[in-house]
Amino acid sequence: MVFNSFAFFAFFAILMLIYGFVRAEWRWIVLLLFSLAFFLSFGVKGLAFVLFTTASTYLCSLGIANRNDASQTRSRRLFLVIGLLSNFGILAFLKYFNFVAGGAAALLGKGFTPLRMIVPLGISFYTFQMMGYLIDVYRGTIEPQRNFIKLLLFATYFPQMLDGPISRYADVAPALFAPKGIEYERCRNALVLFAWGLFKKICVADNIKVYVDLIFGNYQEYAGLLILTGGIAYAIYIYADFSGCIDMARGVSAYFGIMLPKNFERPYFALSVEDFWRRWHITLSSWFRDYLFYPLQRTAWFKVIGRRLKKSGHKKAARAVPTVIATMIVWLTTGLWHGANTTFIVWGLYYGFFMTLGILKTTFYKKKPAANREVRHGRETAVKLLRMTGTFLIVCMGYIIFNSPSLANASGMFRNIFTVTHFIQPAKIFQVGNTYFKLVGRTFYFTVTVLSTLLLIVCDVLEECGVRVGEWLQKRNIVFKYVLSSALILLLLFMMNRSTGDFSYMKF
Amino acid sequence: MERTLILKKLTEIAKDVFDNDTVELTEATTAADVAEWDSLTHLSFINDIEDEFEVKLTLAEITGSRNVGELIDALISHM
Repeated sequence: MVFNSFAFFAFFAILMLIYGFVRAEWRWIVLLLFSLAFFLSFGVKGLAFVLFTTASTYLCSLGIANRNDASQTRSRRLFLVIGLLSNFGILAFLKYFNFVAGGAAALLGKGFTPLRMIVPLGISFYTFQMMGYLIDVYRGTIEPQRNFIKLLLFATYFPQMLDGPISRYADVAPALFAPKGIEYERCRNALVLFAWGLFKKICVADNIKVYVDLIFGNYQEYAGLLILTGGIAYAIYIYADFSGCIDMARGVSAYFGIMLPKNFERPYFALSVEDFWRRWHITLSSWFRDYLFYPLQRTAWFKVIGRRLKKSGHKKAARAVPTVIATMIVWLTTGLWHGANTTFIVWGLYYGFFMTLGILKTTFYKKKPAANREVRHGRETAVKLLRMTGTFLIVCMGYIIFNSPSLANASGMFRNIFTVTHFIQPAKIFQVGNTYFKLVGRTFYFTVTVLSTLLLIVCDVLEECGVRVGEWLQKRNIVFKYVLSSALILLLLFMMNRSTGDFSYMKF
Repeated sequence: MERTLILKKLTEIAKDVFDNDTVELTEATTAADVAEWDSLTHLSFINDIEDEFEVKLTLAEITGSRNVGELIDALISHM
């Protein structure tokens, strides 16, 4: 049962009803029961994995916390390693065994029959969440949760199961185990956020995906600008789909007074690739920063590299080289997190390359200030727009790799983009436009798609310029708000019939 | 060592690591206040601080310090 389904609406309505009448001290138990029910709606078999993950994390966290003496450092570390291996081991086996074994068999010239794997709902998200929890217990930044049932709620909390976000225990636990009662303003805002996420999903993402599939599925027939528009359309689709799901997750959770972290900050306004990854899938990149990037650079090997370069007089290289190596490792891992396919590995290394360029630029290139304030301001605006456009194009090119089923497909698309002689094909553009118009459902749905996409872009532009659109809407008169919300609800109910059931990041 | 002296040293290190002579740190300064201070340069900053003060900060202190003041607290706890 996904957020954009009538089954979920019924599920949430029943939950709201029970939650509204149950005693305060039982609210978290209600959330746990409904979280387990949500999980089971995707299949019974997956539950065994999340129970095992929670149990192993629970036991290992207690093992770490109960060994505070300095002489027990080794056994603390052992519990950490066991906990991380058991968490990550399951994820690695279920997601990567077939990929690795298949690749090894191909290298050896032997046949291989892939195992039929059950990949539980949200495994990439809750596994990382639990590993983060265990590491935080080890670091001493949090006390372990000694109530197994409460830890199970943290692992299975249903709003996060589809697409995340990946929460930190310290941030959500206080509210998760003492969720708030019904308060009109908070609950209203939560439902508005949910509706906005639903709008992004069913009015923008689902309709734009039709165009994405049209281009990606038939790229051999197109060249130049048309292929590029496929990449741009994918950028819009995945942003609307993923951020839409996150808005729905945060909206549902905010209803209970549990604020999940933001995952997006208008990513396509980024001025560089580094800036993009501070705005896109924020909880994943911050997880990798805190639990992989920083620990890697604190290891003895990295310190030795830095010290040797410093001793030989290469002070800047002493800073840059360990950072570059750690960055490439993190980006390889980020690619693999998304799935067992060489396209994801290449996609990860693609971003590792651009992040490395950024590191080298920051380390070795010093920007000269403009001569006077007027020139500086004018130049800054023009440079800002150029950087935004350049970054967006780099991201779109990355999406071509990300969304291709194979490297052969991706390279075919790149080859076709850079076919200079046929970069603009008016007849093909018209044909594609016409085909899309028919596939999306002709005039009404085409109009909804265009207007909804424009609305999403306008809202993001306003937010980026500092206008709080939500607050502005709150200040309008009651008639305006009534008409707008009625129209939105009717539109959403109408569009629900056409909505696809899946979110793009569910498969990760 | 006095906090003001530590802050002065941290400012010198910041100017060097971030390659920006105009950086001025206060105890309330956060990474968001310095354009060049991001997750990629943060560890270079920490490494130079550790070498200067001959201390080793924990990962919890490196990731958990919300501003320069908290970083100074962490440094003092190791001195």
